[in-house]
Amino acid sequence: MKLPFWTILMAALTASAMPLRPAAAHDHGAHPASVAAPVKVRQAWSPRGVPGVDTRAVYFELVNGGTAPLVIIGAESPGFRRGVIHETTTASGLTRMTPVEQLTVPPGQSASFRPQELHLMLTGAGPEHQENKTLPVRLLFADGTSLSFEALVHEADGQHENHRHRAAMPKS
Amino acid sequence: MAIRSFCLALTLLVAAPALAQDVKGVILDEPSQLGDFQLTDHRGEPFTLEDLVGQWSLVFLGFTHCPDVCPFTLANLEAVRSQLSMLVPPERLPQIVFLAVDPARDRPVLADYVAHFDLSFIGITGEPGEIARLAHGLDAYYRLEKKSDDDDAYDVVHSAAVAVVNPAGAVKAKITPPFHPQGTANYLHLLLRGMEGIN
Repeated sequence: MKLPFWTILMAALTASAMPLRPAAAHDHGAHPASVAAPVKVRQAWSPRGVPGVDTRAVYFELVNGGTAPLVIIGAESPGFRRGVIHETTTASGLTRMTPVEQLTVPPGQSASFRPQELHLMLTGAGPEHQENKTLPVRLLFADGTSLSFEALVHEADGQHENHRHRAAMPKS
Repeated sequence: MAIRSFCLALTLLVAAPALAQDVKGVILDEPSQLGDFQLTDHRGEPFTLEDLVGQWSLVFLGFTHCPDVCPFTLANLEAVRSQLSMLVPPERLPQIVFLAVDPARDRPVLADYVAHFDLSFIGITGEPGEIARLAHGLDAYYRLEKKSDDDDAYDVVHSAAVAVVNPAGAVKAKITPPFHPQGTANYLHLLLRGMEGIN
């Protein structure tokens, strides 16, 4: 299933422009306070899940428009057991994923989560996630705040120019 | 229409070698013959060296629970095959073979997994010793990083390269990321035609 270009574009623009929703928009148990408005997520998406495979990757750009460093310590998504920030590296011909315990985004800068680089890995998915058109995600920050957003679900299509080129730049 | 087709063909002829040079590949002067192995494909049918003989194959090693590298590599290989289908007749199109090295997690979902990318893809897995035998022949490496019995989200470190296996069942080349579809298709097109001065 491929979403029309305009659908993806509008969703991306909407995600980047709308005020952050409070963390309580999704029921994950304890609800940290939502972060201040200058922190934004753009172009969030997740490759469509494969039946039987309970792992998913989520890609996005996190913009820290605030004046203080933003420290990501984790993530969660309803229906998944765990959310971990991973970095994929390819060195000496081998590719591996390394967990990132925390990631600091300096003020005025952004962090790009993209294929074969930094990504959010969700594990332990239930079957209901195979057909969802979006994935709700909440990033957790060291200061006790969080940021919720929806990641569009579509194909990890090798013919998507952007994805292909991003996939083409493993760190080594 | 004929003029347009001619122009397209001319463009491909002129541009293909240049685009192919963008591909990171190693062509073996002496193809490395694969030894026997006994694996099972995603339909439950035996898959042995004989299934690699008689046609070109692109063999990629990975695991189904890989959320990042494997899906993009397979998606790119599907795009490569699609691009290549405009350059070579169907009978010369390489088969795409996914060697799944984590059989405990891979076997139950392998059919759905490969079909997710393309119905023509072949997924193979089997006993660890047989997987290791083929991986060794491909000059590939993998290691399951399972830390405990209840660790169900472990990573698998594995080779990033795709092995190009010739119709004799020998590794002729290895290509490494990025697998830019157009460039890789041109590279393979030249390789299949025996034009090996492309690196």
